[in-house]
Amino acid sequence: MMELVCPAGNLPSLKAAVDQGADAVYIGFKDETNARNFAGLNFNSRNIERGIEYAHQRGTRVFAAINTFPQPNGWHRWTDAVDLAAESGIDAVILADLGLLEYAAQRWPEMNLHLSVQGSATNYESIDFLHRTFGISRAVIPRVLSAAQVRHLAEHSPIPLELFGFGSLCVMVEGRCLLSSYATGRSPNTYGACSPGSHVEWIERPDGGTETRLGGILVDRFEANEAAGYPTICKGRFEVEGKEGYAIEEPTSLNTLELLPEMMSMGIGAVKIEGRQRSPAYVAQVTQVWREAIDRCQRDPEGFQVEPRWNAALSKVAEGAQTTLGAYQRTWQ
Amino acid sequence: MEQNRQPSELTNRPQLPPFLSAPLQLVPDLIHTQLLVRVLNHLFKQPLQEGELDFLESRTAVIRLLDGGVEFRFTKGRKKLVAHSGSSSVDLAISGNLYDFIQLSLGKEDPDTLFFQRRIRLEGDVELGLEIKNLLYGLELDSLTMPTPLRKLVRGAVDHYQNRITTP
Repeated sequence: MMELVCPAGNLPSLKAAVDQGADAVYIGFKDETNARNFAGLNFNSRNIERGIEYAHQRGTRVFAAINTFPQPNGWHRWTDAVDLAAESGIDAVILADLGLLEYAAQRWPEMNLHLSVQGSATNYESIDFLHRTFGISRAVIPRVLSAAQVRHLAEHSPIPLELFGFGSLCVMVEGRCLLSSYATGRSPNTYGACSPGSHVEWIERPDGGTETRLGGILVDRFEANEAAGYPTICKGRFEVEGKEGYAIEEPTSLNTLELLPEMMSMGIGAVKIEGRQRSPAYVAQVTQVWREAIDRCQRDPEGFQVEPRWNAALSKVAEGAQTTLGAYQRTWQ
Repeated sequence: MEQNRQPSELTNRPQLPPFLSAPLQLVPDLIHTQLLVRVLNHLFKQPLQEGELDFLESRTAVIRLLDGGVEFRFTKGRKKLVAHSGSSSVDLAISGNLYDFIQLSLGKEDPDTLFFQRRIRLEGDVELGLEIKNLLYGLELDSLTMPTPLRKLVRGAVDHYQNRITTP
């Protein structure tokens, strides 16, 4: 049984995911304790309880991502977040920091602990250690591994794995990326955003094009008829050795629908959809497609074929309006 | 990796026929805006009372309907949203065509999708833009005081129009 885990940045998105058949919804709180720390987004103590109640009445579980890395002067904000999640009746917390894993395991021994993608576990020895030490019951796997490596991991892991199925991609040095610190002085790992709104500028040009700056640094110029991406350093176009282009990564979205039968044969426990920063409309559209696809694949994995309308619906909402199989299809590392 | 290294070109940009959007230009912007803020104040009665729009105080946002050739400048006064008539600088500008704004306001399209497709443009204080975006999508429709018949009517009209666009 493969679980569908969907994102929610607010209550209407959570409801949209539940209504469209998500098995679990993951959320974050209104501060830097999660990796989607944007103005006006996320849950407070009041609506987290309403969200959990709505989901539980319909048989859907709710996870809380507390997946940034606490700094010495802010430790209690992170433990408060774990406490709030536990006291609200959350079904699992998604953690990356070892100290926080230790705190949660000691303070809330009954609570399910998931290792966040930010925790960057890419070998089963690491997963096994975290399982034995803190009792983690699931690990979200970084998007750097090829399908063959994921299979190897799944064969040896003592706990179920969760894989990213769809959503915006990053350079995938998960939990270790410092690119935005260079431009903004803030790191996604500690502050929870690669491109804090206060550091982003979009400047319209007379010819209809747009210039994007992050922390004053020019990261891209879009012509009037070019698709845009998020304003991060990694997705910018730069001049390198006289050639202009996407030097690090291009704006693109992961879409692994066609790998569903393979993921099921590996015994993958859950597939995760990216996008807590997106609207209820996105959550509803993407959840609907993936629910249908997973159900179809579960009934008949051998005969499974991706419907063109599924890919069309996903491409429409994708960043950069193009999708890729990411590292899963790589034959090299 | 087999990937398309070129930025994708955008082709499909649905628009309402000019006879629907053009007449907007016949009325001065301030009149539109006064009408709009009355509607918004009615819709956002509860969030306004709870202080959820306080971040707009002393800041000016402008919504530009490109095909309609009109713009709405507004800010938040002490108690509610007010039309901003002055020509002082704006903190945030959101521009797009009427059709896309209708899609957004009905929750039928995702704002980031329309941004990627360059159908909605954002200029100025991006933090303010995120706050407005996330406020709008965080509100539950039940908490908005929109009469159900009106909501059904608008949704029905857009569905009808959308079908005509997608199935020629």
